[in-house]
Amino acid sequence: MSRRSRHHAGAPTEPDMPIVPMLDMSFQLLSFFILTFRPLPSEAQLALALPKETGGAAAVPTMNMDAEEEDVIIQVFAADNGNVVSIKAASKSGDVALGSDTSALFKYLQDKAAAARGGDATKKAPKLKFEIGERLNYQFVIKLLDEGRRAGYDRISPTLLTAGGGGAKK
Amino acid sequence: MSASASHDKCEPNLTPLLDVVLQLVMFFMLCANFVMESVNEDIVLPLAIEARALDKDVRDYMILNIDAKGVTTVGPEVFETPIKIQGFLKNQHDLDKARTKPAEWEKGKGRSVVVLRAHKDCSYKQVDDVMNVCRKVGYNNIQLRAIKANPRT
Repeated sequence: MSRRSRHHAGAPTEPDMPIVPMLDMSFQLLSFFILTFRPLPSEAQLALALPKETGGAAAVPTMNMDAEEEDVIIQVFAADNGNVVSIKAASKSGDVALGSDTSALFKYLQDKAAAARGGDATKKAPKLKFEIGERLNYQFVIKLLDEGRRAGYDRISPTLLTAGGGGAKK
Repeated sequence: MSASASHDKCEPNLTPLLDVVLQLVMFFMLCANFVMESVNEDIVLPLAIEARALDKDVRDYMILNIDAKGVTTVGPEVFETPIKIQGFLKNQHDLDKARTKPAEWEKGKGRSVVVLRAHKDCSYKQVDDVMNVCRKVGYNNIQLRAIKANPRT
């Protein structure tokens, strides 16, 4: 009783919460997450417009068949090791060999887009179709699509090179 | 005077420090969870200068991972061949159709965007097989994922 009265009479006691162990644990957690944290490189997308499936693989337009007249068709032949053997631009007026380097392809695509626009910058570039050998390395496929975009083409569709393609034969 | 000062207990206030540390811990925990959600870290993506960030209007997208051997994974699900993924994609397509109004579906809306994350060393045939399955099921809007490259390098 006397204790209680003395307790009431004295100054209020502050609760003592030990923060230091909690801080220690937080630092340990923090160091764990900092050490295991690996930020991913910034990923982005290349959009494709695939033809609709109407009648199976045969419906995919191939060179000079049912493609529109102004479509730009590029054939890419692949070696067994996945590298490019040759790049060819196919058109009704005749095929144009573009070597195996993408710089000539880029120039050709730029010229074709400029010719199709005819000085009208608001006009869309024609459709660009890549016919690609099946063994071509995917890194190079992306490089081709990238060159197409850089040259100003919005509508790009890659298809498998079916007949006569170096990569298609085993 | 100096003697009495030496007897005073000097305690730093650790509470703000603890607050900051806990906020940092939370940040790293959340980042770790989001990054690991549907991305296969074993896949090394090719580089592309013209690659663009995913459109913010796109709400529904499906990430298909294709490793160097051509094995496709969607989240935890593994599909050894492209044919095996057809059933999975068909189900997703049916789900998309079920949650979209018929009038909008007819206009071509409501379909998920397929994002292909293919390893840079796989062949085009492996990617094309998966794209053909997507096309067959009804997904024509496909995006190829790449690492955004610096044009100067």
